[in-house]
Amino acid sequence: MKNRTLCFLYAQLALAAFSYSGATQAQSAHLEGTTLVLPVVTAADKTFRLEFSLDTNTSPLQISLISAVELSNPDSIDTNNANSFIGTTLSIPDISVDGASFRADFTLLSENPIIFLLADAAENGIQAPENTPNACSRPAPDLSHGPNNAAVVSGFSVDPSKIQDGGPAPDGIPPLTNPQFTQNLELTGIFPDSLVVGVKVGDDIRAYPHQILDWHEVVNDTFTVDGQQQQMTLSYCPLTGSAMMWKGFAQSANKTFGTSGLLLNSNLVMYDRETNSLWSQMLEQSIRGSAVLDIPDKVQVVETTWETWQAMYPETILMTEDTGFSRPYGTYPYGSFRTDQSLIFNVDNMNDLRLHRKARVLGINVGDSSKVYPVADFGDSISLIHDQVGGMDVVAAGSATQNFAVLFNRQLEDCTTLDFTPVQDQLPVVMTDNEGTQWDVFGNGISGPRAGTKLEKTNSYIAYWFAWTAFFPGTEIN
Amino acid sequence: MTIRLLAFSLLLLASLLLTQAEAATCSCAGAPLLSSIDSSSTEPGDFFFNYTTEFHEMSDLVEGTKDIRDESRRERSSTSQVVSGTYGLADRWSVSGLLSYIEHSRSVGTSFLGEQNTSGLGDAVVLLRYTPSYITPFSRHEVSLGIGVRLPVGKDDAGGLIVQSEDMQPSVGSQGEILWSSYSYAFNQASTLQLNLSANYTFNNEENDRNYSFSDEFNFAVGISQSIGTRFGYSAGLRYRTTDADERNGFEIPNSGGEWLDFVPAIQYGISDDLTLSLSGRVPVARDLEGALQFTTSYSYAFSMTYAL
Repeated sequence: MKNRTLCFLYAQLALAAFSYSGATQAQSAHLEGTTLVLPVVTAADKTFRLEFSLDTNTSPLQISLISAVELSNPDSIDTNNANSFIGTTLSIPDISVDGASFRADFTLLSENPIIFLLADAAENGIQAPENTPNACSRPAPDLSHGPNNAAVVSGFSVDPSKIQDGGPAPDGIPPLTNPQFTQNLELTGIFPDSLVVGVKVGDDIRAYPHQILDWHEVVNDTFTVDGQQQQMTLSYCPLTGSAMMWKGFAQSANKTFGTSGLLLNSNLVMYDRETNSLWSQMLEQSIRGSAVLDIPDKVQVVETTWETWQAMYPETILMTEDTGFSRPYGTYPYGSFRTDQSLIFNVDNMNDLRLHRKARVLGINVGDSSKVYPVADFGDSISLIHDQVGGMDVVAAGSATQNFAVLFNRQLEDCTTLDFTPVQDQLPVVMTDNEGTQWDVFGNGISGPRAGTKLEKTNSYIAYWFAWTAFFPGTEIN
Repeated sequence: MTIRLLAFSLLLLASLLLTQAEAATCSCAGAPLLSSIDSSSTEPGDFFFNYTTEFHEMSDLVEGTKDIRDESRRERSSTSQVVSGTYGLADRWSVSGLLSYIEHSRSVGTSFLGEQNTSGLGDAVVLLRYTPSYITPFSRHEVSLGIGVRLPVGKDDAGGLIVQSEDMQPSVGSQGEILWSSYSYAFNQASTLQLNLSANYTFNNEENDRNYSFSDEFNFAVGISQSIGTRFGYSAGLRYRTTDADERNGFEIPNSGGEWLDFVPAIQYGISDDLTLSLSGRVPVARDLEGALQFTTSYSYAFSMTYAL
C-alpha cells in the first residue's frame, strides 16, 4: 500500500500547478477554515506540501487530500519534527488549535480518493509558539447554574428545608411523552400572541405552547439526530416562567423525566425515571439522589410568541392539545399569578423588588457574575446589547414587541471578537457582524464569511425576576 | 332513661349533620372534628364519650361546577380517628373536648414514584355550649349556642427532610376560633321526628410555620331525624360549606376555596340505654370551586360509637 500511495502522490505531482523552491517554509500544520495545511510532509526521501479538506460531519474525523505539491530543494527545508507519512500513518507532531498544541495521527482509509481517518490525538502540553496567531483567553460558559463544588449533606446538594411540596404529588401534574404535532392550526387553540417555546434540532422545528406546558410542565420528546433517535426533555415551570430542553442521558435505559411535585424557590423540581434523582430546573443540576451534582446536556430553546416563531420558521409544527389528558388548556391554572406581585410559595430574597416580580428577564451566570436583561427593555424593533459578564464578551439580541431575547458569546474560538448590528424584518436572521456574516436567532451563521458556523451559546434563559434573584441574589440588572 | 336515650339519640343523629370543621386545606382533606362532638343536651354531671372513625376519599377532579376525567389516576384519601367527651357543667351549660389522629395518603397511578403517606396527632377542639331551650314534652324547640377553639396540638411538619404540603399534614398548624349554633324542632310530643338546623363559623387568621393560613369557613346544615322504636333511628340532611381562598404571606393560593353541598345520611342503633352505634356518609350533591382545577371529596363514611357514663 505504501508504494502504491507514493505512486499516487507522484501522479498528483504531475498535476501540480507549481512547486516551492528556495527558502525554508514554515513547517507548522495549521487550519485555514476547513482546510488542514501541512506545509512540510516527509514521505520516504521526499517532501511535500499537502492540503486536506476536513469533513466535519464525520466522527472520527476524516480528511480528504485536495492538494499535493512536491517541494523542490528539500535540502533547504528543516524536516526536524516535520509531518510524516510512514506506512499507512500520517503523523502530525504539532498542530495549533485554539491556542493549544496537539499531535495527531491519521490512518489511511482510502487510496482513491485519498482519505485519512483520525486515529489518535493528544495535547502536547507545549505552550503555543508566540507567532501562533490564535492564542487568547475565553471564559467558558457555566455548564449549570448550580453552586460550584457544592457539598452534599444528607444526600442533598441544597438545603432541604428550602424544598417545598407543591401539593399535586409526584406526576400529579402529568408529564407528556411523545406528544402530537400539527401544522393544521384548526386543531389547536393557539393565538398569534400566545407564548411558545421554540426548538430547532437540525431540520426538525417544533413549537410547544405555554397554554399546554402550563398544565404539564414536562414533555419527553424524541428527535432524529444523525439518523439516530435522540430523547430530549423540555421543561417549563409556569411559576417561574423558565423553559429549557435537556438531552436524555446516553447511559440511561429510561431517559425521561417526571414532575416530582416539589419546588425549590417556587421552581420546578423534576425527577429522572432512571435513578429517581431530583433535578432543579433553574439550577440545571441534580440536587438529590445517585445523580446528585450531575449536569444535563442542554439544547437551546427560544421563547417567543407564536406569531414571531411562525415568522422565523413558517415550516414549524405545533404541539396539539391532543395530549390524552382532559385539561382546560384555554385557562391559565394560576389565576392572576403571572402578572401580579403575588407569590404562592416561599422563596429566597423575596423582597428584592428592583423589578416587578413577574418581569421576564434573560439571565446569565458566568463564574461568580450574574446579570439579567429585561425582555421589555429591548424595544419594539430588534435591538442588541454588547456587554461583558464575568469576563465573557456577550451580545444580547431581542425585541420586546416580537417578544424574544437570546444571548451569545461574541468571541469566537479563533479569538476573534465580533461586533454586531441588528437586522430587521429578516427573521430568523436577527443580526449581522462586522465581517458581513448574518446570524439567526439560534446563533447560526446563515450567510457571509462564517456561514455554516455557530456562535457559542451561553448558559442563559428567560425567567421571572423574582425567581432569578431568589436563586442568584445580587444579580446585576442591565 | 328511655326518654333520655331517645332525646340523646335524636340529637346525636342531628349532630351527624353538623358541619365538619375541616382539619386542613383547600377543598379536601379534613378531619370530622365538630361532627364528632356530641350535641345532645346534657344534664349536670352527665358525661358522654364518643369515638368516631372516618374514611374520606378526595379523588374527584373538578373545574368550577364540572367534573373532569382524571387520566392520571390520582388517589387521595384520609382516615381520621377522633375521640371526644362532653360533660354537663351546670344546668344548660356543657363543655366538649376532642382529640384526633389523622392519616393521609396520596398517589398518582401514572407516576413512576409510589404512594406517599403521613400520619400523626391532629388538632384538638374545646367547645363551650349553652342551651337556653330544650325539647321537652312541654317544649318543642331546642336552641344551642357554642364558642370554641381549635388547638394545633398535633403534627404539621410530616414528611421528613422535605415537609409535605399543608393538605397532607395531620394538623392545621395554627389556632382557630369557632362559633357554633343549632336549632331543633320536634314535630310531635314524643319528639321522635325532628327538624334540625345547625351553623358554624371557623376563624382561621393565623399562619402556620410556613406562612400558610387556611381560609375562614362557614357551614350550614338542615335535615330531619327520626327514631323508630326504642333502638333504631335515622337522619338525612343537606350540608352547605363555603371557604375563601387560602393564603401564604397574605397572597391568595390559586385553586382553593369554593362552595360544596353534600347529602349526609345516617343510621343509628342503640345497643343499650348507654351505648349507641351509628353509621353515616357524605355524598357530594353540587359544588362550585374556585380556580381552574381542584381535587375534592368523592365520598366519605364514618362509624361512630357513643357511650353515656
